[in-house]
Amino acid sequence: MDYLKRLRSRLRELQRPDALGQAGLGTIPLEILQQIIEHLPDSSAAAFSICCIQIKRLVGDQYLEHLAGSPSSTADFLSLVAVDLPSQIACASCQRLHKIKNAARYTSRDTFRSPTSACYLGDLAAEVPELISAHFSSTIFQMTMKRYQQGSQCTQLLNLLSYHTSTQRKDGYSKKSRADCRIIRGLLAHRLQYVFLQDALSISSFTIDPRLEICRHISFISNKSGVHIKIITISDYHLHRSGDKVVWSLRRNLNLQRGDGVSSGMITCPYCCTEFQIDFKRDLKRRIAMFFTRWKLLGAGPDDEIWKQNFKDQIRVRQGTVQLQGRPLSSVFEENEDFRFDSLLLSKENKNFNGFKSQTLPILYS
Amino acid sequence: MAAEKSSIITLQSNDGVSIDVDRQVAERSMLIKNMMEDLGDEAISTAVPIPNVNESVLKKVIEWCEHHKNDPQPAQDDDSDSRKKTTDIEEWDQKFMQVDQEMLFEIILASNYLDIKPLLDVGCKTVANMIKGKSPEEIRKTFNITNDFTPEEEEQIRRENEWAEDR
Repeated sequence: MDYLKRLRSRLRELQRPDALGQAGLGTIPLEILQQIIEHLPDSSAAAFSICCIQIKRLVGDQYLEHLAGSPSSTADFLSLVAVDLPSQIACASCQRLHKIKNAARYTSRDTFRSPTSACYLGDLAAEVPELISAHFSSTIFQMTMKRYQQGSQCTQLLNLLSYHTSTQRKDGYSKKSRADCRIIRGLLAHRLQYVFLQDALSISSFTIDPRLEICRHISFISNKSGVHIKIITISDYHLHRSGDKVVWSLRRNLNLQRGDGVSSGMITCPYCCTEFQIDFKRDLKRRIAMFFTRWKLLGAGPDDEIWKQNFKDQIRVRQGTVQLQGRPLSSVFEENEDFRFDSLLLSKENKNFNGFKSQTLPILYS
Repeated sequence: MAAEKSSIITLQSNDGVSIDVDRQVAERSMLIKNMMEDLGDEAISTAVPIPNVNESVLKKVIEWCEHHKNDPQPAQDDDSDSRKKTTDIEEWDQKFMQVDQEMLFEIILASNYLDIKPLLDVGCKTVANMIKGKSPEEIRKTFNITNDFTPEEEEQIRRENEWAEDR
């Protein structure tokens, strides 16, 4: 048996192509090859060492072994290797390759088995579900963009990043929500819609969630003095909120007639790629509904500065609106479709709002 | 002393071409410098054969030595980790190294043979820069290396690096 094994191994060696036969690198003596490798970071040295069996035999496994001592080198090495693996991504948080076919493992949709991966827990720590949307996962974002860059179908992954109408009932109102993702010119764009609809006629004033984080830098606050949209002053973020700027406000008791509406118009965050609009309507049954629609540009992947802006306090102020193809993000996202901010309402609910007049109140700060 | 050294010596490539070079320039090569010191004036009167280097490569090496003739000689024990890990190359050297791969590896071999450490260093850094940040497949494409791993060997590497795979 041993003889047969040796023979098979010998045959394999004879049939093996000369990996360095056509390569100028093959003319270089080992000591110079070592000198070249010494100029490389461990991640690249390890990638080089697995180019072919000849190089692997020459330089050995030392560079692969070095990776164990350095999480950043390991992450860099996995990123290099993942380039050659079309169905896997390198996860820097988990220090592993993740298979795209296992994408569903990295969302919280399966409430019976919450993910325990470092990347999922990292998203929770960074408040990804709060700042982007429920079930959004930076790992699936990375997988989606990899598929997109390969020119492959990524609808299933986009669906995992999105969710379709969920309804929650709270004291005195119901909340419907929906999140959608699209890739526009190699960048992931995201739309989040909420509808808060009063249940009872007895509530004369508008009461919904006391605080809604529109993005890291803008909050919607509903309190005794009314409804405010505040830009959080970045430099004072951790100290006090005295410098916060109210960009739009509405008195608490919305004096809207039946069928009337009021809109904030489009507001853009000066610190991250976020646009949003808030609309209020009073229906024919005198119930008040608040419609919140937000568009976000999330960038080309979790390493993109556009994505990172969503979680940063200290960042540069951007001038003007979020532009994509020379147009506002919301308009590009909607592809010139007649976007209806009340599209989340069922037709029977919407019937009560038909024929309303809407007024846009000016933004206080620009 | 500088005036004494400004004599001309002749180097002869392995394809029989003689090239006259300022001695100070030629002495960037420690091999030639030591030879000059050992043989004295006798070496100046006869062509110095450079058996491992052809005319085009020798001219290229001389061009580098000419540009760097006034650089201080590197310390013999300059093998610090910080020097090794950097791949910074000065602008002139970067342009100098914009040659095809065959010439690049010839320059590396010639600088090794002629014992011109700074040139060897620039050559190694140039190759390192061509490897840095590339995946194994991209490195293969860059250097025309054939992937000669059998499926069994690939599986073996995967097994050895199981820590990197999804569980």
